[in-house]
Amino acid sequence: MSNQLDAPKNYSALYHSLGEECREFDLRPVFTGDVFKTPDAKLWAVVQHPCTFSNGAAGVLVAEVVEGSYPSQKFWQGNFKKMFLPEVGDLHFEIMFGQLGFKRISELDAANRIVLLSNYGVNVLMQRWIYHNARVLVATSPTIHDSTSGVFEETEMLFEAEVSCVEAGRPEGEGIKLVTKWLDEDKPNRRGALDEPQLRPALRQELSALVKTHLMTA
Amino acid sequence: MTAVTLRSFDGPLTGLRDTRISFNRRNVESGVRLLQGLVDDPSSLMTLARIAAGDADEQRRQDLVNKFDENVITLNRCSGLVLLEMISASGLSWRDIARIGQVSVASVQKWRRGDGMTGANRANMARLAAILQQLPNHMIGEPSAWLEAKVLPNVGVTPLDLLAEGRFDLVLALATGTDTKGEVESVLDDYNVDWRVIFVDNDFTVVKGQDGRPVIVAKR
Amino acid sequence: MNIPLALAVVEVRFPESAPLTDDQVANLKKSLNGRFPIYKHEIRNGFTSTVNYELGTVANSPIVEVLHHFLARSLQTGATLTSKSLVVETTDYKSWLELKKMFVETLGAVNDIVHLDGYQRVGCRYIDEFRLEGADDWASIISPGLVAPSWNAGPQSTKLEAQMFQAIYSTDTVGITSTLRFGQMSGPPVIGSSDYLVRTNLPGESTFFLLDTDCAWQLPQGLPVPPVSIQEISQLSEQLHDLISSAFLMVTTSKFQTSIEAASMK
Repeated sequence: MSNQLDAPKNYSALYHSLGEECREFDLRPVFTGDVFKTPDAKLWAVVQHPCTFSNGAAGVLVAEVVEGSYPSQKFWQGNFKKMFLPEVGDLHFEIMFGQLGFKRISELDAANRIVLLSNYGVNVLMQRWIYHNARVLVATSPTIHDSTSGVFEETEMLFEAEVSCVEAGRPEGEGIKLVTKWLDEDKPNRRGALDEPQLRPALRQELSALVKTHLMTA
Repeated sequence: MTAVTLRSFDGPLTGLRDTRISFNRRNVESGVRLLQGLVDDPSSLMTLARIAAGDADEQRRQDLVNKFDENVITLNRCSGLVLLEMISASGLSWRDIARIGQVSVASVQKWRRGDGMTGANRANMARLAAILQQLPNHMIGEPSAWLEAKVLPNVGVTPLDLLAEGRFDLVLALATGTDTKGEVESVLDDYNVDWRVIFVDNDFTVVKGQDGRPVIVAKR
Repeated sequence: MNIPLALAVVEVRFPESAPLTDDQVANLKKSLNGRFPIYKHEIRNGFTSTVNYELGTVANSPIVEVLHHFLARSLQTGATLTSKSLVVETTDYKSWLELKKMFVETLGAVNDIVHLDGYQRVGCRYIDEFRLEGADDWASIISPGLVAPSWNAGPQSTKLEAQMFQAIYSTDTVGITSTLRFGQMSGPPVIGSSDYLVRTNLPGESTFFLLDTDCAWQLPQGLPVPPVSIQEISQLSEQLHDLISSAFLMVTTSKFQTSIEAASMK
């Protein structure tokens, strides 16, 4: 394993969505790495580990996000107190691990989400967060990825079901309830299966069929 | 001097161009093996050794790629929406479809709602659909599941990662010509010669915690 | 008639400089805007190899280089700045005078903003792809003796499919060397087209004769790194170009040279 923090080669790989694109994902539950602009015009990034989200936490740990400069490769291998978010439009941002806060989920739901990280982006954030807090270097691949990808998948499933339900005229939250119930039904097998990558395609197909049936019959 | 550090950007020749000039072996009907690489670039010596060893494999890989190319041409006639439906029916996630198509996830959302794809985007989707169609011909009953699984235990590379970098040829090679660990490692070498450093963690691993969720622990 | 010159490059290398700040990029864009109004940045992967000859080991580490491209609107000419080099290149060559002027003025602008620490190498490289147009063989274009021979063995005859020859020359000037690579090739053109430098009318797969002439001045080992002197670098580039143009005259036939001259006067 490398003895250095990851220095991403391609910055666009850090992101799931940026700026206006995030509007497409308004129904996606709050997740690690999301950057929100609160009404006081401050920016906050969720730094809490993804595993806590599936427990229905009421609030999350956030870190302030400030404007910074374009990070070269060397920057990534130092600057342990921050995570870089380069090329967000024309700007570059930094998540400041020393400037923490706590936000209720309801507060973030009402704020303007401007960045969603990809699974890889979340892994890089978690690597730097772990290093900042404990001076322990954990590889993003495979280790951190293996610990985050299941929860990432769960969040995507919640979003897909929620969008399908809302587009069919159902109230917000119905899709999320449906998926949560489905995952808990076969505890711990179905949720555990999310952590096994080769089982995910079958789960997605099963969920897709479940949502279609639910919308036809309920 | 006992050690020399070379950077691939500091070539001995002027400018930014890759200093290797490759001969197009497909044009040589006699099958004479031509050397690839630049003599004054030491890293090319490793490439030459691999080429010498891999001639037969190279031909087989080429045949697979040719068949794959034919499938792509056929599928490229389908509309973007039809291609998306075919791909998503296999169970691949939208974010992985976006990654392989080299577009944002938001773009895929728009395609799903009927927004048009560019010709280049549709060609990418045709390539992905072609791979999904071709894999069952190589005894892979659940292509999406196979694409999402690690190519080797404890190595953080999946066939999906290879597709995201456009290496459809390596995915086909994995599907057909790799029965041993050594053969898979050879494909990984082709993907990224430093995979043992970048994608293997000798210090930590992930296990199931008491709450059933993944936990990072030190390797014993 | 197709002009064979596919790419002309002039380059200066310098001791590694710090990554460009946003202000420096903005100032460079402003300064080069007249000639190179389009800016693109590229991230390129490479590797560092440390070869230990005593132990017989090679250790590779991945590295990343950021390239700042400043391009003309045609995208056929551009200047690229990295942490260790400035390259000015064109697939739309007009004349040496014009290329040299572009290089010297760009170097001046870069040095004003980035304050380079010195220079260690100046290089000039011309890559020609000669193609047969109506002719049967290379005899009308390439000097005899430079094309590998074919021969007969009774009823069997050989046909040249590919050839690559490389020669490295020193010169009377300390530090100046020339590298000549030439030979017949088959396949796609050596110089392609990309987002960062476009080659229009890109030839398809074909047989062509490559002439890659690279002349460079490299700071001799042990000597101190000289500070940037635009005049000295300009004079060096002139010397290097002289070598390149005389190599072209040596490699090509006088018949071909005459036809090139006639075509350029039209």
